[in-house]
Amino acid sequence: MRALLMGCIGYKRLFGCVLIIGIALSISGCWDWREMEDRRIVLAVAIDKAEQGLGPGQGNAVTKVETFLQPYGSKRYRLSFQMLNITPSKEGASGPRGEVGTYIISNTGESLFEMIRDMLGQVGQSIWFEHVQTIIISEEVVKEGGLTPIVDYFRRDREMRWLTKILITSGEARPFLEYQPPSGEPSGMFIGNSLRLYRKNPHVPGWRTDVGDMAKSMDNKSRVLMARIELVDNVVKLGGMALFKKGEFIGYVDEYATKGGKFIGGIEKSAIITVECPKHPGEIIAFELFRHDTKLTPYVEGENIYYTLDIMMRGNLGETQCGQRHNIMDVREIHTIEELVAEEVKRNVFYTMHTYQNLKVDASVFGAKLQAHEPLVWEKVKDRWDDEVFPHVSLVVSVNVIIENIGEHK
Amino acid sequence: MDKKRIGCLLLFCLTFLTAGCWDRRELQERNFVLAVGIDVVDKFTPVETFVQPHGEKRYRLSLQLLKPVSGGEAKDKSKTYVISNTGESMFEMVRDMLGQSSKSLWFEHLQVIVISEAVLQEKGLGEVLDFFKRDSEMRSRIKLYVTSGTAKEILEYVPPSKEAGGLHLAESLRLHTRNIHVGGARTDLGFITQYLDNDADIILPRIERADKVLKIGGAALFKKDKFVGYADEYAIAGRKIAAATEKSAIITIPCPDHPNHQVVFELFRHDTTLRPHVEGDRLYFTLDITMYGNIGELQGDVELDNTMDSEYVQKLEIAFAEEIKRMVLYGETVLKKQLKVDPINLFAGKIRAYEPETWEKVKDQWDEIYPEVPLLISVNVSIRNIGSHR
Repeated sequence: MRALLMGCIGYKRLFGCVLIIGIALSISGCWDWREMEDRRIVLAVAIDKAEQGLGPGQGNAVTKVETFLQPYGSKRYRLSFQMLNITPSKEGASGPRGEVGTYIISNTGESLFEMIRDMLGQVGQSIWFEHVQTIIISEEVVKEGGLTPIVDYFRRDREMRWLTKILITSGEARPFLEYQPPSGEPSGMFIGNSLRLYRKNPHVPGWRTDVGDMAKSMDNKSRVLMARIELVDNVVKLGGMALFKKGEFIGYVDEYATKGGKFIGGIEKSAIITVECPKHPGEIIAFELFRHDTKLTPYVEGENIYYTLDIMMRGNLGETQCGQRHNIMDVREIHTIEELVAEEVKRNVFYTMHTYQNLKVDASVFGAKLQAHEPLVWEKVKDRWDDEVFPHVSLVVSVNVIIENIGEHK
Repeated sequence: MDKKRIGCLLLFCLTFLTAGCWDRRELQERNFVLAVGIDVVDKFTPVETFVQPHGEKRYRLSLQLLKPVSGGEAKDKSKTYVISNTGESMFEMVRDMLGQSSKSLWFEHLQVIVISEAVLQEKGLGEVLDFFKRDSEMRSRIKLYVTSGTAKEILEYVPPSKEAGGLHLAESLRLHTRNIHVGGARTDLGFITQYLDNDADIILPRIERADKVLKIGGAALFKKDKFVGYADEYAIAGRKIAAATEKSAIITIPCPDHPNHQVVFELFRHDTTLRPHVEGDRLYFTLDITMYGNIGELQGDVELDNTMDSEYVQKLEIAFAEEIKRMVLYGETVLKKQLKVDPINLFAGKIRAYEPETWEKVKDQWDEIYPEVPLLISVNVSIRNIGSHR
């Protein structure tokens, strides 16, 4: 046989044939394929305390099923997932196209990873986290156990994406997964996309609030910012943020302080700045920011650390509530408004600065700027920065506003 | 060689510039605002608001957004939904509402703005509309409405045809040339902006919702930008005839011979001339109307009221002319005598155009003079077709 083969094709050819067959087997590429419908895609994650976050009409009987015998630890958290329902909608039976079906599963336990693996017993297929859009944490959970244990799994697991949005709510987190946005999209995507509009909406943070940024901040032992979301009577809204220091929940700051924080960091792209009309008290004039140039510089004089913040803003006059009564065409009027807007920006920045200093959290880039510009000074103060140094640094703000267009006609 | 290289480089750079899609934004990434509703804040809602550095919680701004639905599957569902917020500056509220929406808000397809009367009782129209007048995204053809109820309810209305509510409202107003009860000529945002700039009086169509019924009729009148009151459908009809903004109209009278029956005239074509006259110190207007049209409906007995009879038709023509005169005078009574407004500067504009010297003299006291200026009306009706057959 061997002699016969060799007689026909020779060694080299035989070798070539085997090689081709071998390559054909290894490059076909589909050996580990997994179809879409075999995956259970998670869109949003909600973390509540174990005794909270019950679904509507869900009693204790269900809770007893949604758990497992735990060798260690207590029933501390309730983990809920919003799962994408990708079964095609049948004629008339399900919602129309454009509305994506979702359902919720939840479990209780302490280790998030353990819960996730136990939840495989609640879904038919394996759970995929690569499309998680939003993680919502209830305030009660972070107050009790701190932030670090909750987010550890999301920082460690390789299936988690760094651009996943993470938000905090003062109530329960699970209702956000049940919330059905009127636009028909799943609430996980709705919330994630809504947070992406932070450039135009000065009232939400959105810069450095993704999971990746949070992980970096935690590694650097610096503060963590988290956008706040609230749900009342089927109305969902983002606004304001929560501050964390060393994994501890410090407190909320309101929309106004959030806006000021964005001015300090120079991360706003567009913003609406309102001032009271100088001639008509109670009426508002709104400035629409288009372009800005913001510079924060640290200075050290002996023991004294101070910062200068130079802001140059250009934009339009967006709205005057005093309307016809006020003649905006006059150049002097424009100058008055420019000065007022500059004053207002300054006031806003100081409001934020005082909020941060009272909370003893450097929620902006003051520490980082000092580290970059004055590394030697930073080495000396970095250990007591948040608690002792930052609350006493002073900030010198100078704002220059130029109104380019007024949208007025005659 | 160098030239070739530069040429290549240039070509290469051009491909970047001409690709054109660098700032594309897909349709499904936009949230189209179809209608805006402005109300006063009646009850405080905890989430739909924000911390305001200046001003008060004065307005509730509601936006009707288009729900993107593909295919014909969602025929029985509403195509829109409403979100709302409270504050003082419209612009600030709009931006804060991005926290209630997953896509940025686009106003370029805004169809209507509905303002509740309660807002206009407190604030002038110019102040309420300032943002819409100033912003570059707003179109001049946006329709405006005034309601005595709440504007948000009108935005939440789903037409039985299931078309988007904002479109329904705008299309409905576009029929104003055939519906004499609607004061819809020159009420778009662009016109209103002009009138506000010129300190003219303004007329806006009125819309009312009761339960599941929505209807347009009558108008709200503004002295400069201050709301002064409503005019009913009959007064609006008279005003439209005086201003010649009607294209077609239905005019009803009781039959001259048998007063418990109605006869209806359908206006097809008209020739209307409004002229100011100055005689010494006296100032008066003449309104000459010639109308051509058909007999549209006869409620009575055709045997008794025979439209084939030319004498009877002539009698009708006279009666219709009387009715039109009465209509115009009623409109004058309501607008000129009671509300003392001259919307869209109808009369003032005529004097300025025809008697500029007189206008210079009277323009400062025009507000006092206007309610006393007499109007002489002469109407001529010609019935063309009677639609009878034997």
